[in-house]
Amino acid sequence: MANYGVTNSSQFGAQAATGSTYSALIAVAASTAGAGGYNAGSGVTYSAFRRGKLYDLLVGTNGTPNDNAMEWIIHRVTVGATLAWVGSVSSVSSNFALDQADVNFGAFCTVNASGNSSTVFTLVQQPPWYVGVNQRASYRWVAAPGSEIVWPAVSSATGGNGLALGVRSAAYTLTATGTIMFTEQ
Amino acid sequence: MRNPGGYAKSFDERGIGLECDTFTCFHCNTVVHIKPKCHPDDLGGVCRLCMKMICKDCVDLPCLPFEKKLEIMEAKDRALRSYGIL
Repeated sequence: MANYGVTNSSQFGAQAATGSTYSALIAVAASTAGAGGYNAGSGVTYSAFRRGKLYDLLVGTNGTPNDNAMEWIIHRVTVGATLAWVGSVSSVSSNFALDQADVNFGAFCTVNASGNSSTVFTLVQQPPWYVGVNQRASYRWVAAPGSEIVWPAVSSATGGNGLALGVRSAAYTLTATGTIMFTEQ
Repeated sequence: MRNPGGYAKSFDERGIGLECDTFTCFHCNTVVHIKPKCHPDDLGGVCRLCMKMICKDCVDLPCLPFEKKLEIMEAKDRALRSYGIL
């Protein structure tokens, strides 16, 4: 199984400012033909939903250092068919596999999505990961095999088909950074 | 802890590293950070049916592993899509 890494780098569109409500930095969901489902080199297109396993998280901020509280969260979300995002993964035409010999992922992935309104993401169930850290701090979590955060291989109509990395802060209003690594089954 | 399900590292406001083990609840897939020397009851428990670690919220709930929940969701989704409903 190939491993993939996605960041909310400004390469994929303007990074959204952090606010007092959660904004989605990176969202991934099962898809039959997601933004990263086609590899220009191999021509492989995924036609079936696939489970994803998120095994590595790295979050931080890239604004002026200060002491403010940040809340980071991984939501379980239903990623709707129509999304509003600042940048599209597919626009960069890059293979996000950590090993470039692997084909790209079949999941739908959106980076720097604008907001977390009900038209974009619908929150489902309790969040599988939540942590509060100082703005100055970076935080990394790595899962042991078998302990990953998993999203199901279902359509958006069933619900809960994806995960979204979100951040909020009452005082910090600049941009935040996130990196996720996942694998698909 | 023995056989942790994950590892987390961060820093406090003085730049001093903070590290802890984590485990992932086998029932709800929630990541639980383990505070060193905390009381075991504060972490959750071990489900005596599936014999896996579970979080505090799942302690009083029936044994339904997350993998089983995924299978139920996916089977329902496949069935509805095959009927042309989704």
